[in-house]
Amino acid sequence: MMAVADTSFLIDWARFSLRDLLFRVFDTVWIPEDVLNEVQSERTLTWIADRLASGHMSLFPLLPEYRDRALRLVELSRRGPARGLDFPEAYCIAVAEDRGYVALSENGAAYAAQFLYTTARVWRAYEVLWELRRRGLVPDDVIHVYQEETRHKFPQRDVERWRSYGSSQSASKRQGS
Amino acid sequence: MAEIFAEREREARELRRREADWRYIDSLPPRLRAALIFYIETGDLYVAAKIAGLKADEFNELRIKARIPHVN
Amino acid sequence: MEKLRELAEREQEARELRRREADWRYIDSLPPRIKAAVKLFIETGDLRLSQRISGLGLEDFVEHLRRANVWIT
Repeated sequence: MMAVADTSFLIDWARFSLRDLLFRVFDTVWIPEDVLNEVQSERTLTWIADRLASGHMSLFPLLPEYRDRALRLVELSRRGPARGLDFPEAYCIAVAEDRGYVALSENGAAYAAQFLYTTARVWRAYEVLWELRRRGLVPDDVIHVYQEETRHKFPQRDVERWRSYGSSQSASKRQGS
Repeated sequence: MAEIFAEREREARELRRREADWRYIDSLPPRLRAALIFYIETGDLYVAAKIAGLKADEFNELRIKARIPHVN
Repeated sequence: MEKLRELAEREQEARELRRREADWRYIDSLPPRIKAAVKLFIETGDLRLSQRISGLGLEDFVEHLRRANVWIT
């Protein structure tokens, strides 16, 4: 599975102590060139540069066909009902839509877009952590660790969903044994 | 054949690491430093220039200042 | 329809969270442009628009949000 990441995802995820587990879920994470240009902090830049060097990340160029589709997505989003998309997130979604990647974004408009006007899957850090937990690669409390380390707070309904999944998994295991 | 390429890559990387002016590299702002380190590790000028936010020839000038050899 | 309602509720909850937990003392100490941008973000959750108004790069703006205890959700 491959992903294309926007800045809002990367600048948070780069602060997470288990950030390289991202590459247990995605074989390659594509970074649009405009996204790379937006990154400023040493921590995030160094991580991206290291992962580009190791081949876990790759640069994705600005291509006219995706730029046009991104503009179209921005237009569609401006007609409501959810918050409007901006070009950088729309570009990631356009790429993901066409190439079957997962778009990684913390942007609320991007998250909403997948339910309204695109077939692309849009994952936040929450969905990545969910997948990591499903694969048994992280403990249940990772969601709190992530929040603490990145200063990114998950919505309460998502925290509750996380807890109830954890409880149901424990109950299934008890029944099985 | 793949082994020969891998060996050449490894030698090139070691040469770039050895010859680089690390004092100069460490004095640079994060973006340029990250780009030069990336270049030392990979020899990929195109992507290194993108990381640096420079054109390829501008990055090449920086590479020369940092005494990193271009290894063929 | 169900999904639309859920999205709207998420937006509302996120806005309330941002308002409730913001460090207003820090926000009031900011230069006018950045203060306005942070307040806009608190009300709308529109990261890109707020960032543009701040005149800062995205990472720098997000850093101010973090320091202001304004969560990006």
